[in-house]
Amino acid sequence: MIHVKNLSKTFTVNEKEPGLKGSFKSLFKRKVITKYALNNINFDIHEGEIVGLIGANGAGKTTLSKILSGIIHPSSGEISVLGTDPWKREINFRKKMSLIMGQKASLWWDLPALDCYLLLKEIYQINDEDYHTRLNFLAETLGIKDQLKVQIRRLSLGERMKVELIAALLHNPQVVFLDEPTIGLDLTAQKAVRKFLLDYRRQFNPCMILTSHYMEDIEELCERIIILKEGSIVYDGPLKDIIAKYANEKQIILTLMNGDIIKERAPRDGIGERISALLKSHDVLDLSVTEIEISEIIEKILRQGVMA
Amino acid sequence: MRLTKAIFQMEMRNILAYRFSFWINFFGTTIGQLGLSYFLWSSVYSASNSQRIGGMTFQMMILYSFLAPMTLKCIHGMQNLNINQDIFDGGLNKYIIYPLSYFQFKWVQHLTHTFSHAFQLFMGLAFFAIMIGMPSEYQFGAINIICFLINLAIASSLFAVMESIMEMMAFWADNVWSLSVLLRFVINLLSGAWLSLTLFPDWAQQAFYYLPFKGMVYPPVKILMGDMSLLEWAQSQLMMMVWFVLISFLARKMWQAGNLRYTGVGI
Repeated sequence: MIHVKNLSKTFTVNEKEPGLKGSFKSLFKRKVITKYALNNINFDIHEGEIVGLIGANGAGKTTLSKILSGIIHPSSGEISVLGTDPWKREINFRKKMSLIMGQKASLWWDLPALDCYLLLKEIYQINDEDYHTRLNFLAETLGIKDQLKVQIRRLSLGERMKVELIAALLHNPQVVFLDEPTIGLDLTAQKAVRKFLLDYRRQFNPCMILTSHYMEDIEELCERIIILKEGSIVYDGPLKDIIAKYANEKQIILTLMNGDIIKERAPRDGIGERISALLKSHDVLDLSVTEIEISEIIEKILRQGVMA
Repeated sequence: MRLTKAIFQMEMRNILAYRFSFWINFFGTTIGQLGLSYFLWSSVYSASNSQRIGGMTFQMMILYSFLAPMTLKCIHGMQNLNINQDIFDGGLNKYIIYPLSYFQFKWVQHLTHTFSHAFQLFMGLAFFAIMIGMPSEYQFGAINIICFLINLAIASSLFAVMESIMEMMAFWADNVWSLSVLLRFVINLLSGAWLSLTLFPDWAQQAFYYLPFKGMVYPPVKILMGDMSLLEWAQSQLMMMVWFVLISFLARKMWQAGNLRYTGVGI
């Protein structure tokens, strides 16, 4: 469904010296720097997959989403989304994809959501029956039916995200780009959005690419992750494999009789010995062994740049 | 056609969402414009000791001075198409994602504002007739209104495409607001919105004929006043259409080149 080969993207940025002198100087001459936002990226994504794009700020996640959705032009490389080059921005391609921008409204703020949806109905040429069926399903699943007649600017952040989600999925897209869909939402709203996305995926089986800084989003939604560091892929594979591959330790948590809690890490192959030693030296009420948090492993990969 | 209708309806809902602004805009512009024209031209006419200036009587001049800025307002439509803003803050992203033509969307939005201002203009004209009275030379018929509306649509589209060129400069520079101001200044001056073109010297009037601006305000006002022949009016429309095609071609080239530089900031 998505094929990316040797994709690179460079940007030029102007550099200005600080201070008033620098400002005057920049009126006549500016230093232009070329930066790699993406460097030789390769991957394929298939129907029904939800892939998480992970990386620090400036790693190239959003640039990648923008290129795949046809917003910006790649500097070099080969891209095919739904069998077409997204940069050509063909109408048929745009009818089958969607981009949800958590930090950017795509609807018209002065109008109620229902008015915006009527316009989208014409833009996507959705027939009356499909429009009503999908709108009812999406609004009911997200629990936002009562807010659809309210001006969008008057909705809360969580409600706005929900009406944006409906707008993005009303035409039943085959490829969905989700850029920080839960940013700024409270925990309940985050959970609702995640549950909704899973339900939606189960029912319609689209290919989804998710960019998020919230590890809960990634852990709950994605089976596969792509980790980007400074424009290059440092890991591409199943989320569960990342633990086996990069977490060579496990965490032991002991609750002692006196109420104290001890947390300790031990190598995977030496976990039994370490537990025996701890049981001998302490009066233990409870014991548990857990995997190290995925966010910590990813942080380690980003810090050390482990190659896949 | 259904999409055009849907965009028109959406924009009308947008305009009518703020009814306070709608009425303040109407009364402010109409009464302000009438008052200004009346006092300005009564001083000019009394100082000149002449019944006609530029071939127009005092009442005709007041009517022209009222209709010209109101017509200009119609042509300016939504004032800014916000293309520069969309480029600057990444608002363009959604229009790239939606399967529609960005320019079609902006154009229909713009014409919807033109339509709304035209409605206000006719209400203002009725107000003028009641409060001041129509000049005795005034000739008014259905054909005048039809020609006026056609002229508005062509001139408004021409303005939109010229404005889009100014705003698309945002692909290359961060702040292009001054270019739009400059464009408006030139249009106001050379379209007859500020002064009737008959007040300019002959050589200037001949030069204006070949520019895209002349047909924007002067002919629609004159045709509405029944003071221009249909042939002369049609020639001015043809000239505007030629300019529209040329400038649209340039706008298309700019759009293609600018898109390569677009970074889609904001997400």
